Amino acid sequence: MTLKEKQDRPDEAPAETGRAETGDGERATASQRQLVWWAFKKHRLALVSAWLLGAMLIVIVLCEFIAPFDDRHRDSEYTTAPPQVLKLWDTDGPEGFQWGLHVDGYTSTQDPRSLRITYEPDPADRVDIGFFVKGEEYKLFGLIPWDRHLLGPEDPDDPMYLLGTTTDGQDLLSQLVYATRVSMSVGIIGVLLAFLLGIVLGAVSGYFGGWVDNVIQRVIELFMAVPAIPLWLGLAAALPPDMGSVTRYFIITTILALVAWTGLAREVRGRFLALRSEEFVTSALLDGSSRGRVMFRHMLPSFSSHIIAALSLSIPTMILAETSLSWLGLGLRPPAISWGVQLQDASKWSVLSGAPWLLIPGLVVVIAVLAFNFVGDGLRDAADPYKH
Amino acid sequence: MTEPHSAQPLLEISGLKTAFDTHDGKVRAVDGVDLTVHAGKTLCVVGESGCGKSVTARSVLRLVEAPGRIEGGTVTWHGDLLDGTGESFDVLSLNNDDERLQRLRGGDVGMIFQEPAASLLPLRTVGAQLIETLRIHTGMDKKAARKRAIELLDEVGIPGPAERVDAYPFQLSGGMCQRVMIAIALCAKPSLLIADEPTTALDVTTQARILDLIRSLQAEHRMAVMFITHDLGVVAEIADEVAVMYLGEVVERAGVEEIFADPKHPYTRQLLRSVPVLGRDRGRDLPTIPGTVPNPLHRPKGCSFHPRCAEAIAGRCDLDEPPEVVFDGGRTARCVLYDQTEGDRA
Amino acid sequence: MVRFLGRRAVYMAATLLAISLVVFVIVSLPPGDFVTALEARYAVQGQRLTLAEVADLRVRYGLDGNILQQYWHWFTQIVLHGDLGMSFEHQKPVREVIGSRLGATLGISVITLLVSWGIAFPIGVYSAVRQRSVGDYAVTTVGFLGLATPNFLIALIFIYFSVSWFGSVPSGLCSPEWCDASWNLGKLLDLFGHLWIPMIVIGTAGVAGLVRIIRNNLLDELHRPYVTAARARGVPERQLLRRYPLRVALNPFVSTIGWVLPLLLVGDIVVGQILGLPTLGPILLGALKSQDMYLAGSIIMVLSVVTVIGTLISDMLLGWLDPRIRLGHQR
Repeated sequence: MTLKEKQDRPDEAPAETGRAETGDGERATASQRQLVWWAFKKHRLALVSAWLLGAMLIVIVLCEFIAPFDDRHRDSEYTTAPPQVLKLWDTDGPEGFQWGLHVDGYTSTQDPRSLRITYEPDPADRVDIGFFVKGEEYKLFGLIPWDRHLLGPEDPDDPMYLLGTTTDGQDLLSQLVYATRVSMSVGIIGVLLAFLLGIVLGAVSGYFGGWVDNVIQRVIELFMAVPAIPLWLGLAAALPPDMGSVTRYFIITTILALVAWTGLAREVRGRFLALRSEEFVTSALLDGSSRGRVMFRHMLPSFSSHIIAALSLSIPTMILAETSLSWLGLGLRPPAISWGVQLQDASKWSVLSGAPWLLIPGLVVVIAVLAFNFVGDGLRDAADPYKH
Repeated sequence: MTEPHSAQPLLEISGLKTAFDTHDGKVRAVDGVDLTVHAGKTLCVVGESGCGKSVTARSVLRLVEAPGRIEGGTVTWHGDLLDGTGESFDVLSLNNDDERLQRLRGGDVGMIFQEPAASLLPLRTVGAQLIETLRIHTGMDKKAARKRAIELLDEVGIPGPAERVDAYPFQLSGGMCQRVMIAIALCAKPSLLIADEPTTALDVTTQARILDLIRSLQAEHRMAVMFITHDLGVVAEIADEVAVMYLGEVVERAGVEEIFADPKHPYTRQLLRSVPVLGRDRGRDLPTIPGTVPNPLHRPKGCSFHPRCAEAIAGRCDLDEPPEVVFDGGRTARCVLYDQTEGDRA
Repeated sequence: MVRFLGRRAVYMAATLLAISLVVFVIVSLPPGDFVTALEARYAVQGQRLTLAEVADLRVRYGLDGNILQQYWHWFTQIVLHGDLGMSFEHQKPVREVIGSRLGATLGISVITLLVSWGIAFPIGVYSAVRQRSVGDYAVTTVGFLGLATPNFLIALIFIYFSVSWFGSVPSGLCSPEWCDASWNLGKLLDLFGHLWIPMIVIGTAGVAGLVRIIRNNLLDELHRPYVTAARARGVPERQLLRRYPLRVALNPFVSTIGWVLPLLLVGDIVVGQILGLPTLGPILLGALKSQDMYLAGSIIMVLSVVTVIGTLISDMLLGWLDPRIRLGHQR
């Protein structure tokens, strides 16, 4: 919000002062896309967020390579082990000071009464870390078989758990990388589905108006009248428990999309209604362009920035919904892994109190949601390059 | 309207500077404006969009909102001295909670705006908003205020005032809303009415009626009017004095006859030439002022009008700020053409 | 107004009918029905139902006909007899299960709601009026974080700190020694001692959202011409804020009643679950997880009805507050 206002408010000056936008030759001849980009670049936070989202996209695509271990990797020797610190040099090794990327191994102690085992980093036990190390085999992009990982222990049997391990002894970092792929894609695919539904109905509704609009509006209102949260819960709970992970993934995404499409449809409709009376639409119609052509070639592009902004602002809702649903045990279920599924591990307070690192996926959720919000805000303000 | 003592100054604006901070830089919307409104007289402030005339009007009552800021100058109110109730004071140096500022706003100075319908809160009846103002400035009780409100609505020519007092702004036309605004502005019998383009958003016939109304009320209440407009026709109709503004500065001040008969500043001349005259301009293109008002962020060096001025002197107008030249009879123009050789060229 | 209300009522009925269909679909989606679930349960206990008993039960619960007949039976039972069906998990009529928790749920929800409005309102107004002050930046930053954090995560973080500082997590609404006691001052104090926890956890997310709404609404209004005009006629600043922009900015608030009401009823599902509150939320969650579909479907149905009623109430309130709507004027 803070950012948005900074950009937004100059036009509060009485209209007289703000309007002059002449003289700057470059601006006058720039394309719409260029203007939007210039305006967007002024939002520093939005720009940083865009880079961050870009990085996350790379993680999604190269997830098998970036994760040190496979998503099924389980090390029952180290359950609920704390995060290790990545070190560049060693001072108390056998040879004194020594360069080399490494982490400390673990020592375990067992509480004699509760029989609970706790792990602590042990500086004496050095685990060497390398880039592009050999590890578990996987198929890159689902096609190319490979066994190199971006970062990993030189000896695949050594423990390297940079973010600690889960109660099952899984590497939190690897799980997080895989979860990022699932959770982000649920958000993105869900919004695209909702958008497809929303834009078709919204555009039809906004362009034709009249009874068509009326019918569609009533349907939208009907969907909006159903309380969204119980509806998700109900639909998700009605799925058979033995359903396959992939099917479940797509059905959950569809459910989220079904709940979210109404807002987008309204947004699109509102824009179409406003545009319908614009002169360039009339003139395109008078030129003999067909209605469909006017709708998709003239009207849609003129507010595509708004639509991208609206999309970007809808993704966080979707991500939050999936995370909550999965955390409640009604969304995705293990072996599928998403941020919400990961956080289930942290639900028991007896576990959580000893293992705060289990909340790290929550931090990633917050960062991802914020990033989408900032990018969306930045885009929304940049979408009207002629405004100030 | 021309009583002998009424030529005394009522409001004196001197060196007023108001700027807006935008993320592209500081915009000097008003940059050193001097103006005087005389008691009982009408001062018209004219200029193209973006010349700072509205901001000047708002600065008088300190209505400029962030990111705008009044940065300098004085706005001296002589009203208290004239009616013998007190001393003259500078409005800009008052504290925000000074009682004199509250009294000035809506009490001694009434103000009406360009968009009458948007200037009234849609959720309250016009009567409620009128009564509220009446009670703030006259201390009437509710009943008396309501009675007075109906009288006032009648006075500004609203038919069926007893019913209309309970109407909501959106139930009235733009012209009717402006009449309500005028009633509110006049409810405390101000000695100055600031009218910020009050007829711009109205259709032509309504415009004429509102102008008539303002004129007749002005005569009746013997008040001064500061009228902001871009319409030279309106100026010819109601002004006693005229100030022409360009890019945040007053470039020429003169009596209304002088302005139309003998414009001094090249900008005024070109402005007058671009107004169609019945008969004369038939069948030919109207001359326009070349170019547009420059972005106030990139104000031209020297005289800010020189890039569009037909009479600009290279090496002079594009370098030095033109001086304000005072002519006989007190009229002024800010142009090098009259420097030292006062009156010769005209 | 009467015509407006009549139209809304007809429309409301249609909406409810449609919702009931959706809910019924949800109820009947899982394989098997109430009677098969019951049979399975008896089988676990080593008992068996005779075929006649099964047929009897099927008739009683309207499960003997085709899907449309089943829907009709379910629907009329609710509408005519207020019979929401049986919860097989609780072995009780759904109505009793819901009824036993309604009081606590409403109590907690109303108190939390009032507290969060009480906190959010002044903060939102301050933040808008002092836009771009240090306070405003702090408020918007915290608000942004609050909105980006899922509720359950706030609860988890709260639990983590609670355990590391106090060594335990206070759960439920009363300490064991007071739970069965009759009402007295001690129990009341104990209740308040427990109540602040859900209030903080639920409130954090709620306040962030509310502040954002108030601030944005007010910012939209603060620079309208009518504000300048009112200032120009000498309306004192405080009165000006209260009577002009704030009045307009509050209207959208009223329209949130539609979704606030069901939230009040069910309580915050997540927080109720984590903190072990005796509210409807955890019951709904449990029912959904164990596919106790009569119970789940009924709660969803009740919630939907309340949403629709809430929407109607907010429409009426809006009409009362905003003459443009009341007098049928387009906004």
